[in-house]
Amino acid sequence: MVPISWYLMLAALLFAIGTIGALTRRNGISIFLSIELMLNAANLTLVAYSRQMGDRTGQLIVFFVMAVAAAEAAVGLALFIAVFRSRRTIDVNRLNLMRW
Amino acid sequence: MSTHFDWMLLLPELVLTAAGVVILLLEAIAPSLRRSFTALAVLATLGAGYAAYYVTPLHHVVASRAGTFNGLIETSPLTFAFTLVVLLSTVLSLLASQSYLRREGILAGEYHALLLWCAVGLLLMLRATELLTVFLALETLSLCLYCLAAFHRRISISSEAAIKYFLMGAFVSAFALYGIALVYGATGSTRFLGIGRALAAQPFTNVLASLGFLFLVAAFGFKMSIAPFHAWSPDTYQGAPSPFVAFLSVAPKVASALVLYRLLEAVVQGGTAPNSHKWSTAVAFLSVASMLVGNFLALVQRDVKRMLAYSGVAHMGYLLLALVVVDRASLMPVLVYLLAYVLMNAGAFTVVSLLYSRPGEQHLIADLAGWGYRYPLLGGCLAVCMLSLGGIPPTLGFLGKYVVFLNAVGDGLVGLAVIGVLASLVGVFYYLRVVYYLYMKPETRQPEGLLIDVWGRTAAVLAALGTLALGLWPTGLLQWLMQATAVK
Repeated sequence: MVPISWYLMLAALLFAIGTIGALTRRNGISIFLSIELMLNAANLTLVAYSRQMGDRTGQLIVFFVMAVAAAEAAVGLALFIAVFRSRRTIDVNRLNLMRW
Repeated sequence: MSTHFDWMLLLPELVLTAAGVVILLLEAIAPSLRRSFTALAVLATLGAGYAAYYVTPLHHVVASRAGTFNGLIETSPLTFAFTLVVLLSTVLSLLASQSYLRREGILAGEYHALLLWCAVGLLLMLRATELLTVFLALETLSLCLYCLAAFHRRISISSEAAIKYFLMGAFVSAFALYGIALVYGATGSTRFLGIGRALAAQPFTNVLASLGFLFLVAAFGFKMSIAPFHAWSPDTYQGAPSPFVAFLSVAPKVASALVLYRLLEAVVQGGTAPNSHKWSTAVAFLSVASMLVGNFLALVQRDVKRMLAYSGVAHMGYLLLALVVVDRASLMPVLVYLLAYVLMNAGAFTVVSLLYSRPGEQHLIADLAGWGYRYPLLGGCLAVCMLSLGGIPPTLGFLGKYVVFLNAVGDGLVGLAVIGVLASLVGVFYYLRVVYYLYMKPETRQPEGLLIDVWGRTAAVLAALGTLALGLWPTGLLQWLMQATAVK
C-alpha cells in the first residue's frame, strides 16, 4: 500500500501549483481553474486522512465540496460573462476602473 | 432523538429561506408586486428575529440531549445576540435598497431573495459548531454576496467590483478548505470541541494543525477585511451598489468575528496551550496592522465609500484587540463593538446611497459640501454616524471603543490599548472632515436624479437614533449582553 505521506505531498504540490497559478495568471478563467485545482488538492488531503484514520467524515466533506465548487463555477462564469459583455475582455490587468 | 425538534430550532433560517423563495416566485408570476418586496422582506426578517427569540429558551431542552443535529448547531443566548445584530443589518440594508433599486431601474425580486439568503448563511455560520457546517454557511453567504455585488450588471464598475471580490473570495475559500483538511488530519475531528480536546491531549505543538488554523484565520480575516487581507474591500465597496454595501460592510464581519473567536478558543484553550502566546502575538500583529493601514489609507481618500472601506479595516483592528487574549469575557466588548459598527456604518452607507445618484462614478466627499442644510435630516444622520465612527461621546461608537480598550487594559495589554487610542485619534480627523464639508463649506453641486423615499429615511433615522440612544442609555444593553455572554 502506498503510504499516506505520498498522497499528502501530492496534494500539497497540487495546492502550491494552484496557488502560484492563481497569483500569476492574467486570464480570469485561468485563475478560476487554478482555484479549482486548489480545492481538489484539499479534497485529496481530506480523502487521504479519512482513509488513514478509518473515519468517514473526510469523504463526506469531499461530496459537499464538489457541490460547492459546482455552484461557485456557475456564479463565477456568469460574472465573467457579465464583465465580458461590457468590457470585451476578462484580463484581470485591464479591469482597472478603480484606483486608490 | 427527534429530528422534528431539531428542525424547529432552525426556524429563523427556515423563515428567511422560505421568504426568499416566495419573493422569487412572486417576481416570476406577479412582477407588478415588485414595489412591495421590500416590505415583505423586512417582515420576513422581523419574523426570523421573533423565531430566534422563540427558539432560544429551548436551549435548556437541547442541553439535556445531544444538541441540535447531533450538536452541529448551537442555540444559546449568545447566538441569539449575534443573530439579532445580523438581522438588524439586514433590515437596515433592505430599507435602504428600495430607493436605489427604483432610481436605477433594477428593482427585482432577486435582490431581496439573495439578501435574505445571505442572512441565512450568516445565521448558520454563527450557530455552527463544526468546520464543515461553517464552510458550507460561508459559501452560501459568499455566493449570494458575489451575485449581489454584480447586481447593477449593466454598469461595468459593478461587475468589475464583483469579479475582484469573487476571484479573491474563491482563492481564500480554497485556503479555508485546505485549512479544514489539515486540522481534520491533525486532530481527527471537525468539531470545535473535539479539535480543542485533541490539541489539549497532544503535549507538543502540532505544526499541521497550526498551519491549518493559520489558513482558517486568514480566511475569516479576509471576510472581516483585516489587514493584510483587506485588498478587496475598497474596490468592492466602491463598485458595488451602495445599499448592498451597507450590508456587505457589516454583516459578514459580525458572524466572522464569532467564528474567529471559536477558532482561537479551540486553539489556545484558555491560554494553557504551549503556543497560545504565539497566537496572541499574531492576533495583536493583525490588530495593529489593521489600525495603522486602515487609518492612514483612509486619511488620503477623496471617495467617501473608499474612505469608509479603509475605516472599516481600522475598526476591525480595534475589534481584534478584544481577541488578543481569548476568553469568555472578550465576547461582551466584541458584541457591543459590532452592534455599534452595524448601526453607524450601515447608517452612513444608507445616506451615501441616497445622496449620490451616479453609481458608476466616484462618490467624492467634496460633493457633499453644504448639503447638511439642503437635506437637514439625512445630513444630520450622516453627521451622527460619522461622529460615532470617530468614537466621540455620547454615541454608541464611543461606548464600543471604551469597552474594547477597557477589556484590553484588563488583560494587561496597556501598550496595545494606547496604540488603539492614538490610531482612533487619527480617525477622528477624516470623519470630522465629512461633517466639516456637510456644514462649513458652500454648496458646489445641485442635486440631480436623487430619489429619497420614506424607506431610506427610516433606515437612516433608525441607525442614527439607535447610535445616539444606546450611547446615552447603555445600561439595559450592557446588562443584556452580560447575561447573554455569561458562561453557560
